[in-house]
Formats: sequence, structure tokens, C-alpha cells
Amino acid sequence: MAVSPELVFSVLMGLLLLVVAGWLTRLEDWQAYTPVGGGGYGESTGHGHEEKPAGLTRWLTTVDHKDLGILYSLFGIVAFAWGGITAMLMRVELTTPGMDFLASFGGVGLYNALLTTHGITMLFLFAAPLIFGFANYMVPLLVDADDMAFPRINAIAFWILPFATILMWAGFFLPLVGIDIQAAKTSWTLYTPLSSTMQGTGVDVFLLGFHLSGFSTTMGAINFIATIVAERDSVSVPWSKLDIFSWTILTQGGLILFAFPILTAAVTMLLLDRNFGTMFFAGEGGGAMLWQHLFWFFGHPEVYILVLPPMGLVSLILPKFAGRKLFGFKFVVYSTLAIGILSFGVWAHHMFTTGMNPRLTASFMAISLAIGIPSAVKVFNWITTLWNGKLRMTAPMLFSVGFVQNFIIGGVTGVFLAAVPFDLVMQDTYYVVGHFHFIVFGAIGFALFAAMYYWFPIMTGRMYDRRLALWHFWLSIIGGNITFIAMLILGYGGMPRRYATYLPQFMTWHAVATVGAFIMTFGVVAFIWNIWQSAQYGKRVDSGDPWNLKQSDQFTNEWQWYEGKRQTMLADGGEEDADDAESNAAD
Amino acid sequence: MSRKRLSSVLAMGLMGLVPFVVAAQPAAAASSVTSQYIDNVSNLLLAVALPITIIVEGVLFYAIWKFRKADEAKPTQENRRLEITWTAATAVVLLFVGLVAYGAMGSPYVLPSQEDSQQMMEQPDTTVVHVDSYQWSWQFHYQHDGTNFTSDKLVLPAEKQVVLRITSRDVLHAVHIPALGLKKDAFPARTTYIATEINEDSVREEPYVLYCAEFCGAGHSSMLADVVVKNQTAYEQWASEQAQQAREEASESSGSQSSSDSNTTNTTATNETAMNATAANETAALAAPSA
Repeated sequence: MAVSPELVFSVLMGLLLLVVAGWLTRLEDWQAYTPVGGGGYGESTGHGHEEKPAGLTRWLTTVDHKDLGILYSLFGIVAFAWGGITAMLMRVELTTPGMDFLASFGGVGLYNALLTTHGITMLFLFAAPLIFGFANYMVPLLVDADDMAFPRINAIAFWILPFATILMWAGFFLPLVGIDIQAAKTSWTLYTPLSSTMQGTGVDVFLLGFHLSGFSTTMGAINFIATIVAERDSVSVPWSKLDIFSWTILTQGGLILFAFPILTAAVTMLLLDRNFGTMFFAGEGGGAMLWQHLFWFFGHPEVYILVLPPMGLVSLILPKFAGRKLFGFKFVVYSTLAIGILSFGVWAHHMFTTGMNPRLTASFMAISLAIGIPSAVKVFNWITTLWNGKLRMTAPMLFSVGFVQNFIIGGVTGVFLAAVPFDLVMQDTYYVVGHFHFIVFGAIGFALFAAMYYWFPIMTGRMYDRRLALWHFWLSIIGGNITFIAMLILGYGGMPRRYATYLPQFMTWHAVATVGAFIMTFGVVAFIWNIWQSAQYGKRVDSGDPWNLKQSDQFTNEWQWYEGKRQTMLADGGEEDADDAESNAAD
Repeated sequence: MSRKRLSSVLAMGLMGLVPFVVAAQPAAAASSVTSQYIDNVSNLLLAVALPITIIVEGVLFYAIWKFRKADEAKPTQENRRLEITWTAATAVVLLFVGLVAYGAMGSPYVLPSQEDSQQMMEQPDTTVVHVDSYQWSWQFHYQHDGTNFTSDKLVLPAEKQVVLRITSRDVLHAVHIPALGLKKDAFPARTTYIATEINEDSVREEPYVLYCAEFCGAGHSSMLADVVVKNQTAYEQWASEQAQQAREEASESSGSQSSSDSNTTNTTATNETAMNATAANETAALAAPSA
């Protein structure tokens, strides 16, 4: 066999990359040029030792739940940036009815690819990994475990994600280097027969990536369940004292265990249909309805997989800054479990317009309305927790009440959609888009921001910049409400979703939505800048209780752990070098 | 006690709903029977939801405002009665939503079952249009005076029972005519139905818009069609003309027919097979469990 120049080139390139990787791993501290040394995220890595090597090797080989938590969070923020950029490209395009802004870059095709990747990225690569990031870092601390139950599976679950992401985003970048693999343009719901017949390897590559990310999520869920059930210190944290965030993570784990295998099966069948000539979703067999049933049997629990932990975060953070314990803790736990169970009985409310049997329709409506009860109860509990409290409007608190504000609108519009006759006109319009953005950005996103600010001192040893955080909050809540209310109004006007171009009559509200989206973008830029800067140069935290939680007797496990870590560090604090004196490393 | 105040605020809020619910009378100018039912539901929901949303948001803001500068936090006390009250209150509101919605769902003009649609189509007075969708356009097949003809506009009579039989040739599409309150997905190898009766007031020269509402690929956002609502005489006239034209074109010669100054084409022969094919599908669909 002749040795082609390409092959030689590839081998040389591979060797070069190995050399670079080797060099990077030998760097003791790859960000040592930062003024304070240590740099990077989390505990500083001035010195390597056998258990925890220094430099990049540490981050590539770590099985420490705290490191993996930070990696998950960083990953989530990168995905958030990509999801945001794609959203803004679409919003700018939608300022005018015709196809103009994107026209020279790929027109409608690019728009369709953007809407696909925006949806998938925000749900599966931003929200879920960021939740896992906080859960990874905090759940073992909250339940007094040494680490996750399966640290290595934890690392595998994380490291699958970047590769899954590369596959899912590849279609956007490969054409730039001359490889003809186009991004999938199927929309995130992948409805057959469109997805099973659409030409192009890009769709298969994307599906493989989607598939992989499912493995990652499932492994993570198993790990969380095992950790909370088996690794929990049953003396210091009996079931009766388990915190609300861990409860929601446990419920989420259960939902993932039952929902994701369905997705895996469905995507496998779709790949077989596309590549091996099977007929699972072909017209005469199970057909398009089979896909929809399978997809939404996974897809609706997925909504609660994403929203329950954020509810837990808010239930955890809100009382800390109200100075009093969560009102009706038990009811909040029960309503979490109730939502978890009911979430498997509502999937066909995504299919009211498919002409399915009206009697079935009615029963799905009933359960969809019923799931509104535990959700509303939570809102009342949060508000009552605020009532009679002593509120401290810090950034995490602002984002928590912002969550409640958005969730009220998102929830009420959701009840509308559960009512079949209303859904029959609003299905697949911007009303639906507005509704779930109130939930996914307004609620899930806000809770994750709250958690990021709340635990920032633990995760980085530093404090965020309060002024930037306030900008982030106000721009997000104002921009979010403008954009998503404009979307609801567009929906009332009949504007269908997933339209790259539209009739001129909708222009005003589309323009309003774009303005709101820009306001949000400024907020997000403030957020990312704040996190990036403060993690490296922010003011150092000077006590184990930066939020003054001891005062209201809410100095919970993770903060106790943090205080303990700081004390160990002080006791240990030799003056070997400048780095060490300042660092708060303490393994 | 401020907890008492909280419950009284909530109670007043619920009381405040009553006038809204009473005020939400059926919308006067609904465009079709279908949208009349749906508008009723929609308005009732809005009348209930808008005040609830405003009250709950209001209580949230009030709580933040009031307790933002409180001197100290009062310890949280369990209050089972309050919990049960608002759980029950939410359940009552949602039950109301369910009943309102269920009331409208009973009508075949809102949620026609296969059987409903079959029965309506058999009634001699019903106008049946076969809506055929494909990437990325629509075709509307009619039968008038025993002649089949095809139009690229959806022309419908007012004040008459109309059934749309919807199919697709390739991927999923959806008929979405927001102005008339009509929507239904289109499937390959499966027939779905819209049944309605359009009101006299909706007759107008300017066409309504039919959108494709199910993502179907590159041409999705331009997959629009005109919907013209005519009064019965105008509709009869239009349909007879179209049928006449189709007959003429068929009898001339089946080979060359390029005179497409009107937007209809003679597809009698192919159309017949299409109609038969879908009829067969319907029987199959009826036999199969319909979900």
C-alpha cells in the first residue's frame, strides 16, 4: 500500500500534538503569570504530589468530585456561550421579516441549523452539565460523604461530554476546513420522517454526539443516587435531615434512569433507520407517531429533570437570605416527588394536534393540569418563606426571587397550554416558545446563576464583583421579560415557530424580542466577565462564613466543610513560598 | 398577624376573580365555530389567570419590599392549614380550567375523532376538501358535481359544515390558520381531520393565511397558502367554474394543458387515484387503534 502524503502529514501532526501535550503536562503551574499565583480555578495547584499532580495533568486526570464539579461548570458556561451566540444570530436575523443578515452565510439552512443547535445545547450541554457541576461539588459535602460513590465513573461521565459536544457541533466547523459534513437541521425534537430521511452525514454525526451525551447523563445520575443513598453519613445526615437540593438531585436521578434509556433506544432506532434500512419510523410501520411517543416519553420527564434541581437550589438559597428556614420543607419535598412521578404521565400534551384519540387527549390534559398543583405549592412556599423574614438582597437572593417571578409566568402560561382547546391553536407557535423560555432561561438559568454566586466563595476562595452581579441580574430579568413576553404576544398573533422568515405584520414584536435579547446578552457578558475575573483576581474570602449564615442557624454542611478546610490551611500555613502563604489549598 | 394578612390577601385575590370570570362572556366576533369554542376557553383562562398572576407577583414584590429592611427574621413555623388551603385552592382553579377545556373538547368542531369526521363527510351538505401537503407547498383537492379539481388556494364556504382531510406526501407538516382558529398536523400514510363551520362575518376578499406549523425543512417558513372564505353562492359559483374548467381540459386532450391563467390544473385522472388511495388509508386508520 502506498503511503499517501495525507497519512504522513497526519502522523506528523499527531506526534506534534503529543509533544505539545507532554510539554503542557510538565508545566508546574500553567497560569503562573497571574499576579497572585495559583490562578485557575478552585484550589491552587502550586505543588504537585502523588495524589494530585500539578498543572494541566491534574485537570485531565482528576477524580475529585470538587474538581469535576468545576470542570462541569466551566463546560456548562462554554456551552452557554455557544447557545447564546446562536440565539443572538437568530434574533438578529428575525429583526426583519426577510432573509438578510444570515443570507450570505447560508441563509435558511444556517438558520435551521442554528435553531437545532441552540435548543440541544441549552438543554443538554448548558443546563444539565451545570446542574451536575453544582451537584458534583456540593452533594458529597452536603451529605457528608468523602467523595462521590464512583469517582472514576464520575470522571468518565464528564469526559464523555466534550467529545459528545464536538460531534454535536462539528457540522458548524468542518465545512470551514473543507470537509463536507453539514450541521443537522432537524430541530431539536428530531421529528421523523424529516430526521430519518434528511440527507447528510452531519445528522448522523450529530445523533452520535446526542447519543453519547445521554450515556454521560445516565452515568452521572447513577452516581448521584448511589452517593446520596449509600455514601451519605447516616448519623450526621439521616433521611430526615437531607437537604432540599440533594432531594431534588435524587429525584432527578430517578427520572434520568427511567427516561434516558427511552431516548437511547429511540436515537438508536433512528440511526438504524438512517443507515441500515430499518423501518422503525417509516410511514407504514410505527411511523411518525411512534417517534413522537418515544421522544416525548423521554422529553417531558427531561423538562423536570432540568427544572427540579433548580427548584431545589432556590429552596436552598432563598431561606439563607431570608434569615429563616424554608416554609413547609416537607411539602416541598413531597411536591418534588409528586412532580417526579406525574412527569411520566404528561408526555402526549406535546401531541394534542396530531389527531390522536380525543379520550386519550382528555386524560393527558388532566394529568398535565394536576402537575400544576405541586408546582404552584412550591411558589407559595417560597413566597411565605420571604414573608416575615429579614431579606438580604445579595446577588444569589436576587436571582432566586427572579426565578420565582419568571416561574410564575412560565407556570401559568404552561397551564394554558395544558388546556387542549387552547393548545390546539397555540401548538408550534411563539406562545410555546415564550412559555418554555420563561422556564428554561427565566427559571432554570436564574437558579443556576444564583447557585453560581452563592457557592462562588467555596469554589474559588474569592468573592465575585457585586456591581457586575447586579448588572447581570437587572439586565437579565428586564431583557428576559421583554423578550419572552414579546414571544407570547407573537404567539397570540399566530406566528409559527422555527420560521427563518415571516410576514411583515409580526415585525414589531420580533424587533421588541430582539431588543430584549440584546439586553440579556449584555447581562450574560457581565456574568462571564465577572466569573472569569473574580475567580482569578477577586477579593479573597476572609472567613468560612461569608454569607453570615451562622447568625440564622443555617450554617449548612458544605460551609462547615469549607470552614474546616480554611482552618486546616491556617494551621498548616508554613511560609514556604509566596504562593503557599496566599493559597488556600488544603488537601 | 401578618400571616393572617397574607391569607386574607390571597382570599381577597380569589374573590377578585369572580367579576372577571363573569365578565368573560363569549367573544362576539369569532371567525368560525371552532374559534368560537377556543376563544371562549382562551378568554375564560385569561380572565382567571391574569388576576392570579398579577396577585401572586404582587404578593412576591410586596413581600420583598416590606421585609427587605426588617430588623429581624421571625422563625418559620409550620402551618399545615395554610398549606392544605392553598393546595386545595390551586386544585379548584385547575379543576375549573379542566372543566372549561373539557366542555369545549366535546365538540367535534374542536377535536373531531375519526368517526366524527367520517360521519360528517357522509352528510351531503358538507364541503370536503382534501388538503395535500408536501415539501414545501399545499394542494387542495375538491370534488364538485362529480368532478375532481385541484386548487392552490384553500377556498371555503361560510355558514356550511366543512371537513378538511389532511395528508402529507413526505414529512410532517401542519395546517395552521390562526385567523380561523384551525390547526392539525399532517402525516404521511395517515389522515387527520379538521371540522368547522366558518361564520358569515369572516367572508372577505382579502385572503387569510395558512401556515405550515410543523418544522419540515428548508422551505418551512415559506410554506404558506391563501385561504379565501366566500359566501355560499360565491363559493358554489367558484366551484362550478373550476369543475367546468377541469371537465373541459379533460375532454380537450389529456396531453397538453398549459393554460394556467387560473390557479387550477387538471389533475382529474391522478387526482382520482389519490382520492382512492387516501380512502384506503382512512379505512386502515379506522381499523387501527387511533392513537
